[in-house]
Amino acid sequence: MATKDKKSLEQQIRDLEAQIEKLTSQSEIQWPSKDLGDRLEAKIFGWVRNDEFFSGLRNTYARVIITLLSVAVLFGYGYYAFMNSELSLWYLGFICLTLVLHAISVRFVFNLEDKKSALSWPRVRFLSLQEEKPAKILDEYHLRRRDKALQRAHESFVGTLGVALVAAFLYGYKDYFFGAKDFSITSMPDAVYNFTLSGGQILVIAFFVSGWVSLQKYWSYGVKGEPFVSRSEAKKLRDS
Amino acid sequence: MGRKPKADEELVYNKLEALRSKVGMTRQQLADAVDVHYQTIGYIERNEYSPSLVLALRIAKALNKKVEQVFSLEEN
Repeated sequence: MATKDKKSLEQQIRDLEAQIEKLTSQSEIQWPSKDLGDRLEAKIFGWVRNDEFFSGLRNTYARVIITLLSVAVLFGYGYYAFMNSELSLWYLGFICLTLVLHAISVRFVFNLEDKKSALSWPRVRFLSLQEEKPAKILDEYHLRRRDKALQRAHESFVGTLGVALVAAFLYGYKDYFFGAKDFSITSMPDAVYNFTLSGGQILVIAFFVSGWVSLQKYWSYGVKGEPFVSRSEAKKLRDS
Repeated sequence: MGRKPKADEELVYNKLEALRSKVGMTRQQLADAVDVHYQTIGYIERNEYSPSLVLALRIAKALNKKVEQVFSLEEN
């Protein structure tokens, strides 16, 4: 009898929870513009992910070139822009361009939120009236590769941050370390940082840091791309 | 990924290519049956990628085999 009562009570709790969930989802405000934006974004991502027009950016050769280009832009053009700070906005533009190229070449794998969305992408029908077959291009292989890339990017970020902090410490205390001033651990002196930077140069540094952080995951993803095959070869591979 | 696994990664061997050919399935057909891209089937066949347990079970089911008949820890 007690067991039956317990089961009935559990069922009532489950029903109540379901009702609460239903009411909560109903009470959420649906913003039409947000919905439209999401659908448009999903449509664009779906198109770029699946369209063969972008195949040329997805193979290994293209990944190597994009990676080298991003390094050259971030460090090479970054140095040039630092010396000529009126170019800071161009620097930002080039960084954004390399980020977009990277994102296209990996089919926006870092923009996937979870496995569920990856396997059923794209769900949204917006401009197309025809039912689209869910693309299975980004599957568990890509998601595992993405997760490993994020892990490596995090390790790289933490490691570089550590090196940067040590370098900043050494720079601040260089006069004490290299004997120009007396140094003692017991009376820790103030560090000396003296920079004269223009507004443009500060912007360049900010763009460099944000670009470096953003590019980490793409560099960590590796340069191996999809097989460089023609349509007929791809068909042959699929049917082999 | 897409490369030979490092020494610290567990390598899972498989007879996928042989079994798939035996039942007359293409990579695309098998990929459709297990809900992945056909290239992923290729990566698995070349031992460049060890599938998740769920995918391994799905593949075995699609081939009408037990999972240990398709995948193993020893090369044989």
